[in-house]
Amino acid sequence: MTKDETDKPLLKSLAQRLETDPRFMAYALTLYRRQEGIEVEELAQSLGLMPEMMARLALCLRPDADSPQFAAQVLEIADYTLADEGRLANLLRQVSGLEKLGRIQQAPATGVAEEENVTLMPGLLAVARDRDEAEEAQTPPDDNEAGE
Amino acid sequence: MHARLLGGTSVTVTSEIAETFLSPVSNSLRKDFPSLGDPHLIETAVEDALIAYFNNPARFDPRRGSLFTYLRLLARSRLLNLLAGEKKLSAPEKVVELEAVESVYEMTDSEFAGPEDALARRESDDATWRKLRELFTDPIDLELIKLMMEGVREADLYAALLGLSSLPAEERAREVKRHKDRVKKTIQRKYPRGET
Repeated sequence: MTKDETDKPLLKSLAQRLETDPRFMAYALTLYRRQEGIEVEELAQSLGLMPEMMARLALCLRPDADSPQFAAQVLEIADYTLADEGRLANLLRQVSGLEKLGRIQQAPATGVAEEENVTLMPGLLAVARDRDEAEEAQTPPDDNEAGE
Repeated sequence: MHARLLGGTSVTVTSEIAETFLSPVSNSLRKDFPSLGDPHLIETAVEDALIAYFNNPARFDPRRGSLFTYLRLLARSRLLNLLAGEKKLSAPEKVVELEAVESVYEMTDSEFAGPEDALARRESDDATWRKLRELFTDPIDLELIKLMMEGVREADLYAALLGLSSLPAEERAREVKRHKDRVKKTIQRKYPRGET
């Protein structure tokens, strides 16, 4: 058994422990997978990632989508994991949107407002996804949002 | 790595630390506890140690020992606690608190030669690298990927490798990015949907 083969279960196990910690990519990846109803392998493919890189990605700290350093941090992770930075950025923005919507849902509200939030939720998520996809389609492959 | 974690200047550093220390610390504890009933206790203890360090990196003082030694002692104390819990020991003095070990981690690392050693072993031994070598035959491409995966951010290093140092800064940065994107695209083509 090579070192890599012995390392991977340890890294995966640690990544699983960090799935509940919002500071880590493991949390964002899990939230995204649950939202999209996809498995780890499908997520790796959608990020243009070698499957072996998933634990490496999950153990990174999570860039804040609202931070001025967001693009640079996404690029840092994308280089480190050989992932597509445009797709990674979209995933993180979508997760950030989900969290914000989750907070709206949990916020104290009048009965009517709460009902409106619940009704709006699926539509807002679809709009957020469509916007990300539209942005990605408009971005030339060699000129994604994270610069050198 | 510790300085980068402490300074909050890197988002990949936690992953680098885990890749560098998880296996060596686990192996070291296995030598100390060769006949544990539940081998997963060691994994849990080492994970606990890393998580504790990620949560509070300032508690590690590099002047008093290496990060390997620190993590090993944290993990060892956690393991003793887990074992005590498993055996339902009632003697509290036998339970070592995480905090208690932090003043006594002055020791040498005979089992760990440092992050550079771990990186070298990782590269030479790694299944990921075997796949990458199948994909890329150009040694410059492999060196480029190595720099990327080691978290190197200095554009000048990439430019020197790619023979782009003489270009104006803006063009150099653009060309470096083009090369990085090229290797990523090659990997993405190799792993299309349905092939994992």
